[in-house]
Amino acid sequence: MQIIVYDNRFNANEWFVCILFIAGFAAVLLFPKRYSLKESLLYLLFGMFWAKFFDHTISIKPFDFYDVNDASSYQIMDFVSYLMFAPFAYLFVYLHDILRVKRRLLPIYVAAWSSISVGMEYFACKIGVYHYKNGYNLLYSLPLYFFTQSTLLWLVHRVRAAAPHPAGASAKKS
Amino acid sequence: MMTLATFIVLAWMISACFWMLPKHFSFADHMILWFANSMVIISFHTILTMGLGRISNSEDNALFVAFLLERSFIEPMLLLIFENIAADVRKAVWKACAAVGILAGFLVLKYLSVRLQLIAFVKFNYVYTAVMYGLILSFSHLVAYLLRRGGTHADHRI
Repeated sequence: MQIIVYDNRFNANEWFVCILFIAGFAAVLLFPKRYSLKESLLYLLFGMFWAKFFDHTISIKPFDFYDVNDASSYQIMDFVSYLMFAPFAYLFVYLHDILRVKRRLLPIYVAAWSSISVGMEYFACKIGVYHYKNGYNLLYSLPLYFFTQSTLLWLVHRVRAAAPHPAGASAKKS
Repeated sequence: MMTLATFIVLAWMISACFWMLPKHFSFADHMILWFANSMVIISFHTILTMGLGRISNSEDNALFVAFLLERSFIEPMLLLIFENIAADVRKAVWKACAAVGILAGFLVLKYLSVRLQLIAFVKFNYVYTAVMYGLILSFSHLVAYLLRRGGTHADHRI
C-alpha cells in the first residue's frame, strides 16, 4: 500500500482541527443547558459517527476520494478531526430549538447549515485538512450534508416522540 | 452479485431477529449504542486495513457494498441483539452463553467474508478475530451497562 505524505509538520491544518475542536466543545459546555446527558451524548455521537462513516467509506478503496490531514494513512489527528464534528451536531439541534424553527422552514434551516458546512470544508481544503483525489470536488459533499442534517432532524423528532422531553420547559427556566 | 445478495439476506435475517426480541432499552439508548459500537467497529477495521495492513478489503464495487453492509449494519445489529438478550436474562451463565453465541456469530460472519472474498487476511487469523470481537463485545456491554445505570438519572444536564 503506497502512502502519500502531504506534509509532516504541525501547521495550519492541525491548528484548524484543534481550534474547532476546543471551540466546539467549549460552546457545548458553556451554553445554557437544555438537554439530558443522554440526549446530549446522542447528538455528539451522531456528529462523530457520520463523519467517521463517510470518511471510512468514500475515502478508502475502491472509491478513495480524499485523504485527511498530513498523510493518506490513518493518524491520530484524523481521529481528532472526527471529534471536531461532534459539537456541530449538538449546536445544530441547539440552534434549531433556540430559534424554534417552524416545520415548513426546516428545509431552509438545513440548506443554511449545509451551505455553512460546505464553506467550512472549502476553507479546510485550502489549509490542507482534506486532499481531494480521483475527481472528487467540494459540491459532492453537499448532498452528504443534506442527508446527515435531515437525518439528525428526523432523529431529534423521533427521540422526542418516543420520550417527550421537557426541552422547552427547561429553556424557559434558563 | 451472489455475495451481495447473501449479505442482504443476512442483514434482513438479523433485522428480523432484532425486531422480534423484547427490547430493554429506549430508542435513544439503542441509537447511542449503535453509534458507539459502529464507531469502534469502523475504527478496528480501518486500523487493521489502512493502519497496519493486516487485512485487505475488496476493491470490487458490489463486494464493497457487501463489506459496508457487514461492517456498518450487521455487526452493530448483532451487538444490539446481544445487549437486549443480556438485559433480558438474569443469570450470569445465560449472559455468558449469549456472549459466546454472538461471538460465534461474528466468527461465522468473518469466515463468510473471507470465503466470499470480501476481505483477505494478510497477517491476521481467526484467533485474533475472536480476541478483537471479544474486546468490541466488552466495550458494547460497558456502554450498555452505563446506559442502564444512567437510565433513571437522565435529567443530569451537561
